[in-house]
Amino acid sequence: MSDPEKIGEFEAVYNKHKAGIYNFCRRMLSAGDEGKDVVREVFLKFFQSPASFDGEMPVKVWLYRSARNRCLNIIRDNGKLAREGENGDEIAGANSAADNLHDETQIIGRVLKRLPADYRGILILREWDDLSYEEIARTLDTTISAVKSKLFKARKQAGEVYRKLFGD
Amino acid sequence: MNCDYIQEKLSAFLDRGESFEDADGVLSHLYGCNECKAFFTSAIKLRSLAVRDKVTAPPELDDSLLREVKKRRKVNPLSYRLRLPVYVISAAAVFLLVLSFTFGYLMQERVHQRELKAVLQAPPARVVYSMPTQVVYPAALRQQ
Ligand SMILES: [Zn+2]
Repeated sequence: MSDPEKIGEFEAVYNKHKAGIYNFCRRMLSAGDEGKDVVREVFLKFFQSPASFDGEMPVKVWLYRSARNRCLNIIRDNGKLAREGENGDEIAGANSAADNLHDETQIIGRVLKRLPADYRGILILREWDDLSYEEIARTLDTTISAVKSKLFKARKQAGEVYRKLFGD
Repeated sequence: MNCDYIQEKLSAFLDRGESFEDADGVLSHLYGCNECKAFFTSAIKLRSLAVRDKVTAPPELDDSLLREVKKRRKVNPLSYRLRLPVYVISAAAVFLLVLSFTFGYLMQERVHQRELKAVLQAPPARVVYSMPTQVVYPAALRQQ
């Protein structure tokens, strides 16, 4: 394949999936630049990957799986989100802060930040990126019934965090 | 019906919009259970927040990424991918292996033939006959 064809093929994949992958990384890491860096890494890795994509491993699943693994590594490495999740003081003082918190982006950011990374990941895949149960199952390398059950648990915990932070 | 069972049904209903088998039971439970009502309300709230939170990728990301891709393609011609199926690569590897063994075997045969030829062409060996040497010690020395 010639250079322009190769780059054209890459651009088509990038344009189709960039928003989804960007939203996923942005919300997984809740820090703009880190999210952008992961998006760059994932697409460059895709560009250089010798893997062939077909029904067995669609591009979309490959990209989300790659982005998720990278985000989880970053979260594990710096551990900062986990520490924020355990920060009782911040939660206790959150109701007063909520009065000034009109920005929905901040509200959802605070809720997501307090969820364990795997619950956060599955919620973003479903609610932000509209992945089907089957696509989520393939991204997480699990079964559809496990996805269904985990989504319910993630929603339940997200609801509890929301009510704790901002009331009903 | 316990609350977890109802909430899992509600969660799936949100995702697929499917009607569930025991809809009447679920709805009557939902009507009378504050915990399940709170779950359902917060799940819907989360969905509406997520829909409004979606953003497009920043344009500077497009520029930097596409520039990087073009640069990598230009600077490093060795990184061109050889798009061959795995079975073709495996067959080529096996062929090379067999070829190297055959070559080695032929070379060894050739060396043997050369050695044999050298032996056959060499001048005939001369056999020199002589008496074996025998050392005879004096009787006095043997006793010691
Ligand atoms: Zn209930």
